[in-house]
Amino acid sequence: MSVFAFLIGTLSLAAAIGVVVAAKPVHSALFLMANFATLAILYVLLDAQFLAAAQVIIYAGGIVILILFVIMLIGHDPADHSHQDLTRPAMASLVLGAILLMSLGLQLTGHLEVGTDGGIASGGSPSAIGTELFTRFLLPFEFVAILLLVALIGALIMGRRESGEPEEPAG
Amino acid sequence: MVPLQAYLTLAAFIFSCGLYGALARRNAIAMLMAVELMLNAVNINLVAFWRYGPNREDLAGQTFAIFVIAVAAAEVAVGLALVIAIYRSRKTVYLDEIDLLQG
Amino acid sequence: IENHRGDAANRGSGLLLTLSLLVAAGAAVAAFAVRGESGLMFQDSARSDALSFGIRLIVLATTILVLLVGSRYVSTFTRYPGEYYSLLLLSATGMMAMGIASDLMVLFIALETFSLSLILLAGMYRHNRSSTEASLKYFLLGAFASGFFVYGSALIYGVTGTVSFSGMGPALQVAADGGPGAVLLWAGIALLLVGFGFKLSLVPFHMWTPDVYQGAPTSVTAFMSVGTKTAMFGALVRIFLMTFPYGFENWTGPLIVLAVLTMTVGNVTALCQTSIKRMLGYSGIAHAGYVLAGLVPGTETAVNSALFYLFAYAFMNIGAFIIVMAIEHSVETDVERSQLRGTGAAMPVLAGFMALFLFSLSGIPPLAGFFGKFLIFRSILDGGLAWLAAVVVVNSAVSAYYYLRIVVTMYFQQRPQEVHAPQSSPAMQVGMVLAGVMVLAIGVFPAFFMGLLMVPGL
Repeated sequence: MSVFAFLIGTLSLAAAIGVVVAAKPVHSALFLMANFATLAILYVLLDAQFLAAAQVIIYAGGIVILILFVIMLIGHDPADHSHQDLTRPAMASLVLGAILLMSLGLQLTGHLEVGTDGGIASGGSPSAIGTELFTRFLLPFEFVAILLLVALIGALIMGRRESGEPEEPAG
Repeated sequence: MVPLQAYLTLAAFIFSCGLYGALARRNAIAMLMAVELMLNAVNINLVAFWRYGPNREDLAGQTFAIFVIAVAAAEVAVGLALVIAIYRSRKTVYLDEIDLLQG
Repeated sequence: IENHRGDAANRGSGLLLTLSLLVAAGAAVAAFAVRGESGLMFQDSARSDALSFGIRLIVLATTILVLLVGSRYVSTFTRYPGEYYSLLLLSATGMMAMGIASDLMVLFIALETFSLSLILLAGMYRHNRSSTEASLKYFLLGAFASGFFVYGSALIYGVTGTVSFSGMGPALQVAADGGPGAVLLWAGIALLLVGFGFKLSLVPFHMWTPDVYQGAPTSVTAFMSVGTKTAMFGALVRIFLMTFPYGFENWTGPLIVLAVLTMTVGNVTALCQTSIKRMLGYSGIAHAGYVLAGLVPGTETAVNSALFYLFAYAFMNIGAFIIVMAIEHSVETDVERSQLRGTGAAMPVLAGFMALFLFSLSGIPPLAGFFGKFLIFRSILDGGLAWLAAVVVVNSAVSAYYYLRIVVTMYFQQRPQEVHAPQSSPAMQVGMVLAGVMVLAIGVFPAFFMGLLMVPGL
């Protein structure tokens, strides 16, 4: 079982690297889809079934499709090889990533009293999460509603063509 | 048994990929995708901590992950609307060409 | 309401303005009504206490002042004022939610709510390219900040096993004392601080601020500069001083460096700015440095001094922005210092109020700014950091120079070109007078306002 998990993990990591390195945005969007799909499998391995479904539906099904729409709308996307010249901030981020990795991954040998891995956790099912959402975490649930309202208004006013703007550019 | 550290390492790696993408890519849409990667790395952490945490009946980790997904969806919607607005007025999505305001 | 076209749209936006003002005033009355009780609500997700009341008060005061700027200014940059008012109120909701947040989830969602609405408000002046560009720039750095913020919260959730601040104490105590998960906790706090740094535009993370302040419409810049600082400093106090066992103890070193850097870089760069909005942007960074310096000792007086300073900063900063709005031409959303020459003679009232706000910003005695700085000094000296107080004094002197330089330009330099009438609507004048009166009132009766914002024991 753990070999399978490691395989999926490396696959999702490869997809993540693909997103960042791919020259054409369409390729990175497809790598992103692959990354989301592999993460969904990881969540199933971690007994979070509802989250895996949410991940596939919302992320892989919704967000990546939206990004592909916009890439298509933008039309021409010449391959941008900007990442060849590793700019200074990019180096900084690699270093920071290494620090994160070191501090979190390797050093923590058995630091947390880790729950037993055996046994199927009942927590992942939608009904369990549903009750949690409407009982313990009602306030964050309401505030997410306000946040989505803001995003709705925003997408509307930004997407709307202002009166003075030229007609939709050809191509 | 897959140790917790493996998931943390994976999340740290994916977060660094997202960080690199957000910093180094000139294309605004590629940067948006990199930000999505960062938020996904957070989700891996949350689910791993919930699964390996002491009490699995307390679903705080998973619920937080669901809220992060909702927030990421809202962010992408606004981000893409902005990219379209900028493309419509300036015909480019390359950030260094957009830079009107000096630093 | 504003869907029908023609002049009705103007009447519509007037109606919208009054409606939004009613909503904000109603919220303020509710805030005072609920001030008494304090405690946890919604299964430990929210906490109402003196700190959340203080943040609520400052955010509502800011919202009412910015709304008072009035419908004429809004109609210069957008034909759809409905969205402007709704986003402004939603952003205020997000900031107040950050004040009452008592768990990591509500904190993150509130942060996202007010950041997204500010991003959209900044981009509302669609015909002006720098506005949409400022909005994209603010978006990318906002997404960055929340990525770090939520990664840090995930790590803290990992260490403590719970999301709610009230349940976190014991596990944090164990981890902070070097028990299991100490490294995880350290990494989580560091990432949270990076997130705070971006939002508060502390120095290593401040690069985006001036561009966004200059690009966004001025009323949005005013609201953004005060609201974000209030909400984020409230969250900083809530997390570090009320939840973590050792508060800032093992973090005083980096925080002092951050505060000193923020003050100095903010002031020095503000010196060489010609655009008023960019100068106010950089000076805003410096003020964030003063408040952070005041907070470093982490005592009760530190929190009170920070809240009081933010309350005073709200009025004087928005007052200055209102004058900029009155003076700027409708097409340009920026005012150069040279354009202010001779306004002392040409528009005495405006110049008088601008001088009042600038004196207060630079900390001249009888005004609010002075007393805010006085409390910050007292908190730093109580904390035993005399040299830090000296740094704050030097910085205030530098800031006094570039603030008073504008007063000199207004009063003692002749006006070369013709005078164009300032476009200030009656509502804007009411806002200006209200801000001026409050700046004087806070300066003259500080005890009353200190009592209002008092956060008892931590």
